[in-house]
Amino acid sequence: MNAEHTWIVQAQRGDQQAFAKLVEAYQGPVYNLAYRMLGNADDAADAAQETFLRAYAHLASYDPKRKFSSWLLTIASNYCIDQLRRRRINWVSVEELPPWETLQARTPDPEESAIRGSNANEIQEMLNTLPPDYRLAVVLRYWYDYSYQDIAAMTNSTVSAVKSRLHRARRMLAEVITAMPYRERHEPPDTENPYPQKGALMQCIVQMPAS
Amino acid sequence: MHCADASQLMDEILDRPANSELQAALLAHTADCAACRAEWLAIQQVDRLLATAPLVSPPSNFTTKVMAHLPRRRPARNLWAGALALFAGTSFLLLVAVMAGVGLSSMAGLIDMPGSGGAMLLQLSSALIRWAEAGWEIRRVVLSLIPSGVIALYALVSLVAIGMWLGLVAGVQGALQPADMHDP
Repeated sequence: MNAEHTWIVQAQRGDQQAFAKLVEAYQGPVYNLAYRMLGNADDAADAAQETFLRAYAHLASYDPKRKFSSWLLTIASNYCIDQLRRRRINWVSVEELPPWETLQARTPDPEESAIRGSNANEIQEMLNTLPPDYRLAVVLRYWYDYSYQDIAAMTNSTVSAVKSRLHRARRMLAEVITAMPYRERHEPPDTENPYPQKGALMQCIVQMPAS
Repeated sequence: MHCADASQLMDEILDRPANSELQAALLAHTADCAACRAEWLAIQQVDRLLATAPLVSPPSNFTTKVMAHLPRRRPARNLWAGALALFAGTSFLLLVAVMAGVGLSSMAGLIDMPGSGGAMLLQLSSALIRWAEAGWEIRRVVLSLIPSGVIALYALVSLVAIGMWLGLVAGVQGALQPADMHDP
């Protein structure tokens, strides 16, 4: 029995200290997902907090056969999708404006600028142009290295639908990138390690301490 | 290869970069198709950009904030277990009350004379005797209907159940107290 399983069982019995350890262990992955989905630090913190409160309220229904990280990120995903839909943004309107105007329409606040470089800022602004379902598929694939099957299970969808969302999302992002006046800033990848961040969050989860 | 197939192939290659056969097939197509070549370059650029995106860190006091907002009651337990424990515990207490009455019935004979201050004691003992006699009658009826082994087994189960019941009550009381949370 590993430490995570012990914490889950104790938290299911009402041990809040054990639940605090789960929050400590998973705050990074949950917050990152919320940040990439919602696009700013305040909304991400609120969404991550709500995710853990919902997880605590429904801890009795958690199926131990399922990965706890997947269960938690599914709750976060659903919450973020709901929040994005409530914003009532007309995603189609992105096509009506030149992509670079959409990207430069919102100026990040100083706090966001402090935690993100210019490259990271571009990435987030690009993500913000995607419809919620596409954005979620991209985030789960690139930041968490989930397979199509995993993403389909987490989003209550099918593998073919996930493939389609990723395919379209990549083309939409490609249109944005090719239209960006500063696209030449993107350097070619390091041939030794072309994807240094890919799956970094999942590695973080895997490195849970054993009891 | 059609351009639509080449476009699908690009995604497969991004997901399985080690597959040289797929790459060779795509390269053969893009060598003659400028549109697909441009698409492939752009898609690779997107892939690299996303794959190198940095991670962000949650606020330093995040865990403390979450724990401060946790509800103070426990997560829901199985209702049937609580109801069973409540029923068994209550019925066990009733059984104890009846048995206590039976015990008092056997002691009632010791009180036979009103003493100098014994008028009130006499009234009290009379009431206890009537209650004890009723309890004794219940005991007689129960024993005539149910074997004593079954009653003993029921008593054992009830003892376990009352333990669960008391634990549930203690848990509710504990949950009603302010949560004592500290950032681990």
